Amino acid sequence: MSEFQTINQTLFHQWAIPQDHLSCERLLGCLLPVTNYLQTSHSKGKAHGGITPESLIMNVDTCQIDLSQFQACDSEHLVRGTAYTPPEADTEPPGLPTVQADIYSLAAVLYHALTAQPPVAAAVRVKRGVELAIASNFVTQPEEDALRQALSLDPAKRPSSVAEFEALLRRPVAVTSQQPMAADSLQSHSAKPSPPAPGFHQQQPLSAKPQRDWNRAVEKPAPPPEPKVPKVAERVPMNLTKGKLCEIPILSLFPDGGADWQVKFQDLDELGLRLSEDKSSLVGIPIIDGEHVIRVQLHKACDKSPGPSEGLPRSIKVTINPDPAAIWKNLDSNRDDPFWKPDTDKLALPTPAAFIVAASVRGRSHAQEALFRDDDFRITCDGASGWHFIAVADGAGSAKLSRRGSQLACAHAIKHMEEQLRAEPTDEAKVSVAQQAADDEATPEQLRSLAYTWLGGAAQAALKAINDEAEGQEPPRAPKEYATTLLLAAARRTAKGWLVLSFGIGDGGIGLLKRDGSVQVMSTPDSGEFSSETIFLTSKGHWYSTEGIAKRLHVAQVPDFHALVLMTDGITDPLFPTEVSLGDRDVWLSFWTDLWKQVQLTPDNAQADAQLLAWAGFYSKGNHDDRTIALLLPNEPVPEITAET
Amino acid sequence: MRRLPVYLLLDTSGSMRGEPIEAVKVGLASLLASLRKDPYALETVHLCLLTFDREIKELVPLTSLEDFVLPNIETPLHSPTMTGLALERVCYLVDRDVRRTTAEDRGDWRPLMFVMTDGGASDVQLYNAMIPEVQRRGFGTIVGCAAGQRSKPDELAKLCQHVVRLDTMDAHSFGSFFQWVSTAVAAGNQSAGLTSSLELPPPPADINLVC
Repeated sequence: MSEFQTINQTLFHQWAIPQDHLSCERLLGCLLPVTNYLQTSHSKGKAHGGITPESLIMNVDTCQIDLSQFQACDSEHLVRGTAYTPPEADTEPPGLPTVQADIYSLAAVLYHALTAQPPVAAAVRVKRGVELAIASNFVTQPEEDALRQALSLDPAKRPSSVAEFEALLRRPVAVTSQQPMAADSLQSHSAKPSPPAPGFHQQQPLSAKPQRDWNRAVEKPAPPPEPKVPKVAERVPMNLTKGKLCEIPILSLFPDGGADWQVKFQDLDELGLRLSEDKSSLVGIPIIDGEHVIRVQLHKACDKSPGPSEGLPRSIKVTINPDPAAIWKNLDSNRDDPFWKPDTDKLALPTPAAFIVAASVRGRSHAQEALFRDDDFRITCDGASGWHFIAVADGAGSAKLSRRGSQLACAHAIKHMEEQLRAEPTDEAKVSVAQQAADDEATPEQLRSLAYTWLGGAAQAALKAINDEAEGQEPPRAPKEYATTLLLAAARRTAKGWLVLSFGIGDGGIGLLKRDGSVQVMSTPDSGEFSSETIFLTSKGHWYSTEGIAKRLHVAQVPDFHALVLMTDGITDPLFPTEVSLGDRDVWLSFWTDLWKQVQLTPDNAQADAQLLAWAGFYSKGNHDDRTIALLLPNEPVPEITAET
Repeated sequence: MRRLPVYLLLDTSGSMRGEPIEAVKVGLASLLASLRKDPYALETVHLCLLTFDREIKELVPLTSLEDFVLPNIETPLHSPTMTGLALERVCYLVDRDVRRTTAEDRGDWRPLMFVMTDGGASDVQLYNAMIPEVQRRGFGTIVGCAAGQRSKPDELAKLCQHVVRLDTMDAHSFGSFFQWVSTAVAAGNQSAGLTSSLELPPPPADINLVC
């Protein structure tokens, strides 16, 4: 019993292999009964109206169209909304079938059969002005011209009859305009449906096309030529990743197809790969990484000799990346080093007015090489005055003693601020810092002045501590070996709410998350042109001046807020990557929501600092710097913030 | 995602044909393999492979190490060495591909460049003219590799912060060089100051550091 398929199902395998491409004249040979039928019925004034690939049912063995099925597809109205529908049918009610409409549909079917994809639908061409594109690798110039004419949007421009259309298609190719054949045309094929594995299709010689052999379709096929050994890719053209699902199209491994050859893969199990069910690709989840080889045996498809036969051996290289997240090492830093400090640090500090919690974790890039945590922080509260102090610092990765630099900077900046609360006024200042800091009625100007003296002075004190220690080393070290950033904040509950002062040198960021979900950025970024470039406390020239300090000061007076957050760049790089994002309420909302999922930020939670430390270890591709975060939360029930507010 | 862009410029002029280019290919493969063992490199390094002879070919445009597939490298029979033209292309590519920090965009790491050549530039005038242009592109470091007896380390020194000389052009020499390149690349993504240029690890004993 014969098997019947639509014309496109039959042609499906041909499309996958460029040099096996069906020529137009063969196709016309197959369609001869159809074109004859159309000419007859057109001459009687009756058009078909339903020409689609589905109406063309082919006998798989003889490649002949079943005319009775085609006749049965006659339609009173044109079929609407397909790639084969002429533009004039896109009406309500649909237009009546015409000769011109049939020619359009026939041309669209031929186009699909020849180029493996339907033409751009007429409706789209009309609405969007899309040009009709024809992959010229598959058709000769006369054929392309004929198809363009028959697919004209204007019915009057189409060939007047099926016979004329056929004649146009069959015009000989001018010698000079001969198109190159499809041997290099794999790329133009990339949009085709999933390709079948090589090895079950009969090859047509490349030279078939320019020759005209009208009757070939109905004749017995010529004996197949001796199959050419297919080219095998030297390397899988894509890298795989261990543990990650992959799919390698078979056709990408056999660039010129593989007609008449059976392929047997070896080594797939060891890699965690297998042949997909439709044999169109290698699929699986690689189980090992590194450089590997997939061995391949090529057998002739017609080789019916009993028993296992020796195939042609080939091999294909493949690179399997490790899963980066799985190969980080966590090597302890050297405890014997004079400035060693623990690889993580955390602290929770409940005060009468607020809850401060901080965590600092060594980055994976440092853990990988047994380097130290270069970040540091310090949080304190001055009970008498009610001032809270927070400092976070990020030692420069390129500076040898930066882990000590960040420690000194945090400790001495806060020490200075605490001391100032008890210091007498200097000669030039009439009021002491303590008096200014306790004044609930201070004007914004007075507050800026306070911040300048107090926090700016703290940064200067921190630099002095670093310079002193560097000088005192035996032998003396350069202060730049202690290079570190410094972010400072001081906050106090006042009669009107909260007063927050901040100062920062370098990257990272300070944000004040308010009750309405908005954010006040309280740091001035010092970013360079390229990633991770910034200035440091020790680069005195960049900030140690009246303007340099003044532009880095921030003051906020707010009735209440959710949190004051200080972060080193290990946190801001992945979560607030740009200057704009640090002030973006949506970015903050997602940060805040995510944080609360893992950390219960309330004084009654004895695990708050440990949870914060665990949260700070989040995985973010390419972001593996040390991370330090400190949060100050006023003692209020924490209401939910929502996106609407 | 911040990337570490790495530009590899390989001389494929006629004199590289045969064993030298085969040795370079082996060296490149081992460079990729060893970088892939470093998780930080695997997530940040992006490579661009340019070859230069008579013409400049961007064999692989800036591509993540994860997706980088080593292409076939061909050498023509006879051809000049258009190093200047290659530098001109690099400047264009850096301007096009490397991201700088702005308020809305996050910058890449400073790009790195490695130039390997076995002879002098045929387009000396353009080569000299391109040196200040290249230097304006903010490379973290530029390393030159003068391979073989006919190479001109002095010419490379005008362009590069570091120049190494390989006495022989065999698999061993190139292997050592590319191994060193991989450690230099791994050092490329560290915190850096505004102006500090990258400090390279010392090269292995069988590589002569010219400057």
